[in-house]
Amino acid sequence: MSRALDDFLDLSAALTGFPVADLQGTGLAQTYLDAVTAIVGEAFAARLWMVGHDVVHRAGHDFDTEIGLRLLDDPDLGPPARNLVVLWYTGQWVQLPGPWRDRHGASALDVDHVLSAESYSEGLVWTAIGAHPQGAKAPGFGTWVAPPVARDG
Amino acid sequence: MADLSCDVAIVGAGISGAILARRLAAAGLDVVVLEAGEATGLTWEGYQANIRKFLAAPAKVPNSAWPNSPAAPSPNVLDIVALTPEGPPGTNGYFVQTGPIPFGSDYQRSRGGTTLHWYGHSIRMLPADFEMHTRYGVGVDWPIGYDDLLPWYEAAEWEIGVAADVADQERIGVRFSPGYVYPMHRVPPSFLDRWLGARLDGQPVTIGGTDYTTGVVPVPGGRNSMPNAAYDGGRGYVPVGAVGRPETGLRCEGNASCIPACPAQAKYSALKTLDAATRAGARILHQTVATKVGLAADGTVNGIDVLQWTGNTFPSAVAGTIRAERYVLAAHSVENAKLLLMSGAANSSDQVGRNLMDHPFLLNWALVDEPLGTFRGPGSTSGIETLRDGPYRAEHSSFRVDIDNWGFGILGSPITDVSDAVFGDGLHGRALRDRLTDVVPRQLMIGFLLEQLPDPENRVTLSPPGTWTDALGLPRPVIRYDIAAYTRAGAAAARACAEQWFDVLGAEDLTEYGSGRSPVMHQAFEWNGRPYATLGAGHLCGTHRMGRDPSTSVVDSEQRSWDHRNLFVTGAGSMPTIGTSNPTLTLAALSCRTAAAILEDLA
Repeated sequence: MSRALDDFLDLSAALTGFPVADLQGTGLAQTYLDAVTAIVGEAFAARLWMVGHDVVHRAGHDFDTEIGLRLLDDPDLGPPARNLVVLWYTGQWVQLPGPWRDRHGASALDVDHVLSAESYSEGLVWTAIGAHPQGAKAPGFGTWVAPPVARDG
Repeated sequence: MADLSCDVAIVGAGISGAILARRLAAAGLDVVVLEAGEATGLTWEGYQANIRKFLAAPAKVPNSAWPNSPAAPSPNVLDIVALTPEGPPGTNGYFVQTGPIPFGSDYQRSRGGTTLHWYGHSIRMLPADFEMHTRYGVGVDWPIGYDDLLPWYEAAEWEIGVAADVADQERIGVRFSPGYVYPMHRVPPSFLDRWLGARLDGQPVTIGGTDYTTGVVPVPGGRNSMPNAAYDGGRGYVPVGAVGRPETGLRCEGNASCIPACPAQAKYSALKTLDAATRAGARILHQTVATKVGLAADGTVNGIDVLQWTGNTFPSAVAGTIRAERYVLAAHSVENAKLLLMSGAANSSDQVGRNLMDHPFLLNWALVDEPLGTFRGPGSTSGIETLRDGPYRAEHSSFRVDIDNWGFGILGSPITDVSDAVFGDGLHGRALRDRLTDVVPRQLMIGFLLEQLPDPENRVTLSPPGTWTDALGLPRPVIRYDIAAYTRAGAAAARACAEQWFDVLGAEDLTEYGSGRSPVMHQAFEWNGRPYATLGAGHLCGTHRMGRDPSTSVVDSEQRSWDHRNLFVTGAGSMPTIGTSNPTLTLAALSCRTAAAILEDLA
C-alpha cells in the first residue's frame, strides 16, 4: 500500500468515526483518494494528507480536537476535508464553496455528483443508521419486521 | 415506416395498454401497441442498467432510473418551480405550468410506463367513493358503482398479483365476493407499523368536533409475497418473477427502493404484462409517437398517425399510419388528452383535458424517542385507512394516510442528515456517526393523500402554435392547476389529526411548511391564515372522464368515446372522481372491463 493511501485511510478513519478496516472494506479507498486528488490537485492533496498524518499520529488521544483546529476549521484545508467526510458517508462529492474555488482554481471535476453506483451503495451512512443502501444489498423477505438494532457497531 | 393494419391498435405500453393487449391478444385478436418512448427492461441486463443509473443519480426522484427522450419527453418533479401570481409560466422540462399552483406529479413515457416507478399500492376504492354527489353533494357520481367493478377488481388483482388479507380490508368497508382471497398473503407489516399500531390503533381522533377511530391497517401491495394456497378456489397463485429472469423477484427482497425502481422486479410493473402480451402475439412498437387520431366522415376513427423516431439527442422520424377495427388510447391522463386535443377528437362535451385531479400529499414529520428501524422494507406497508370516508366529506376532503417506512427520505434523508451534520453542525468522527445512529432511525413520516374534486378549470391544454414544442415539433402540455377550498380545508383537518397523533406518541413535531425544507414541495397555499404545502402524488386522473351523459363526459362506463364508437380512451383519466385510494388498481380494473367490452364488440 502506498504511503499516500495509508495517510488517506488514517485521516479518513479519524474524520468518519469508522475504523480503517471498514473503510478498506468498501473497496473504494483508492478510488476516493484518486478522485479527491484529481479535484484539488496533487500538491494540495499532498498537503492535506501530510497535515492529516501529523494530526492523527502526533496528537494522541486528543486528535478529534486537533482535527477541528488544524483541518476542519482551516479555511484552505477545511472544505475539502469536510467534503471527504460526506464522500465517505454518501458516495457523493459536493462542489467546493465559491471562495475556495476562487483561491485555489476551480477544477472542472469539482461538480456535484455521485461517483458511481458503488460509491452510493458503500456509503457509511447506511451502516450508521442500521439499514442498507436503498436499492442495493437487499436484506431479504420480511426482514423489516424485526426490531431495529439499538445502535450500530 | 410501413403502414400497418390490425384488429386493435393501442396507444401506450403502460399498465392499461398492457392489460388490454394481453387480454385481446390472448383471445386471438391481432394487436399492435404504439409506445412513444424507448424499450427498457426487455431483458434482465437491460433492466439492471436502469438500476445502476438510479443508484448513481444525485436526486433519486421517480424518473431518475428511466429513459427520458427528447422525442417523447416525460415530466420530472425536478422541473417544478414555485409560481408567482403575475409571473411567467414555469417552462422547465416538459410541462408548461401556468399555476396558480404548480402541478406536482410526473409520469413515465417508456415501455412499462409509470408502473416502472409506482409505489405498488393496489387499493380498491370504497363503495362511497363512487357516489360523492349522492352521498355528500360534492363532485359527481360515477356511472357505475362498486359492485359493477368488483369482478374487475378481482381480475386486476390477478393481473398485478396483489398481496393482501381480506380481513384487513373488510375492516374499512371494502366488500368482497364470498370466499375471495387475494393472490398472495399480505406483505408483512413493518416493525414501524406494529410500533405505531400498538400506540395509535383504536385511538379516537377528532375531526370537526366529532371523534373517529384511528385504524392502522396493512395496505394491499402489488409486490410478491407468500402465495395464498386458497386463491382461485384452491388452485393457488404462482408469483411472476422478473422479465428475462423469472426465477428472480419471486418475493420482495426489501430493497427499500420501490420508487424509483425495484431491482428484483418483485414489485409489479407493466413490463410483466407486456411480456405476456408479446407471448400471446401482440406486437409492441417502441419509439412510435401517436400524433393524430384520424376521423372519417361518418365520425368513426379511421387511423392513427404516428412518427417513429430514432436518435436520442437529435431525433429524426418517419411517418406512418396504423389502421384497425378498434382503437384504444391508453397513454395516461395527460397524453390521452393531448392526443385528443391535437386531433380535434372526442371532445363534443368540451371535457377533454378538464377535471385534472391528483392527491395533494401533505407530509407531517416528527422525531419519536426510540428507534423505528427506518429505511427498511417497502416504502409503506400500512396506512391509517379508517378516515377515508366520513360525513366530513360534505365539507372537506377525506384522506388516506401513508405510514412511511423510509423516515424523512422524501425530504432527502439520510443524505441530507449527513450534509446538515457535517456542513451545518461541523460534526465529524464518532460524534457524526453517533448523531446519525441516534436521529435517523427515530424519524417518523406520515403523509396524507387529500382528495381533489373535479374542477373544469384544472386542465390540460396544448401550447399554442409556435411556442413550446418537443423535439418532434409536437405541442407540450400546458397545465393550469389550483388546489380548491375543499382540499385546503381537508389539509387543515389532516394536519389537526397529525398533531393529535404526535401528541399521543409524545413525538417532537418538526413539520414546517413553506420552509423550503424539500426541493419538491412547491404547492404552497393557505387555509384560515395558516400555511400548508403539498407534493404531487403521481395520481393523474380525470382528463377524459366517464359518465352517463355525453354532454358532460368524454367516455361511457366502458371507456368508449361518445363521439367515436370505435374509439376507447382508457386509464385514470376516465375516473370522474379520484377517490381515496391510489388509482392504479382501479384503472387496471377498468382496463380489464374494457377489454371484455371490446371482445364482445368484435365477437
